[in-house]
Amino acid sequence: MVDHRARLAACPLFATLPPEAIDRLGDWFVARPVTAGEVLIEEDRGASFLLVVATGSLVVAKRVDGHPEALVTRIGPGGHAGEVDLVDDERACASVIAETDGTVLVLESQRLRRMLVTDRRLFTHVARALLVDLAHKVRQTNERVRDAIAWGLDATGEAIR
Amino acid sequence: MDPAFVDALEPYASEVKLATGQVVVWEGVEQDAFYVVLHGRLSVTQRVRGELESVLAELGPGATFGELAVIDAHPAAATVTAEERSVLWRVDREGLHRLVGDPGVAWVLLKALAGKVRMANARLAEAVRWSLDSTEPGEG
Repeated sequence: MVDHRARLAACPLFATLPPEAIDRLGDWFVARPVTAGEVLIEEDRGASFLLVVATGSLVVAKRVDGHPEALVTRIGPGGHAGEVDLVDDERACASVIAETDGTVLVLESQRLRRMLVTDRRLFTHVARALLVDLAHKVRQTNERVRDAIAWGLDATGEAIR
Repeated sequence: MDPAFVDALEPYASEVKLATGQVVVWEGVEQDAFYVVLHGRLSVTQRVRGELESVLAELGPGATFGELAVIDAHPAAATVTAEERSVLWRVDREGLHRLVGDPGVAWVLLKALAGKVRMANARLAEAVRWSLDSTEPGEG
């Protein structure tokens, strides 16, 4: 049996939540065992949940036209995935695959919406945490765009204006 | 824009009018406000190697910007320039933090930021594709 509270308290995404909020947050997540190789989120398919790794590890992979899936990142205990899909219910940005057997904690988008109505105080804590995380993701990705452009320019010796 | 979002913002917003070419946010400079475009068109650009300007986005009515720097208290990630005469709402840091206490507003902001992550991902895919094409033999 996974102790939700302890796992969520160790998750950097929720580091700013007070202990009483973490206690309540545990009730909104469902633990799910996963097996190595299992596809939890498939790129470009519908997905609307946040995954927090309790035990084991996940890999995030993304396709680039004409090229095989590239490993974007590896997520270990305390790490999370699916935060964008959780919020907007659009197609998944990337695939998330279990690298090892383990357990993930799942927060469904529908439950988050219910939290907005029934526990507004907790929702506000979670929303602040997600806003900071998403802001970080935008910055991080913009930096990678800058690096990719600079790499292309360096490789060709071009200067495009 | 969601009418409830507009109603929530209004008490905290002040109107800003921009002339064509006027910069409202400078990349790398600390930011203390979040903006909503009411009228006009603005461009979002980022420097590459300190010289090249990469256009990240064009913003029209209903678009928001500046929230990153207010939310995470880091300098602005990009420069925002009016491409034509534009009118904005400006909400300062304190106002935005109060607004996030309203779950409905927080939800709208979350969706806006999620959209920005998706846009950044799409630009990254384009940039990687362009870089790979540039280095193909016989190209570029």
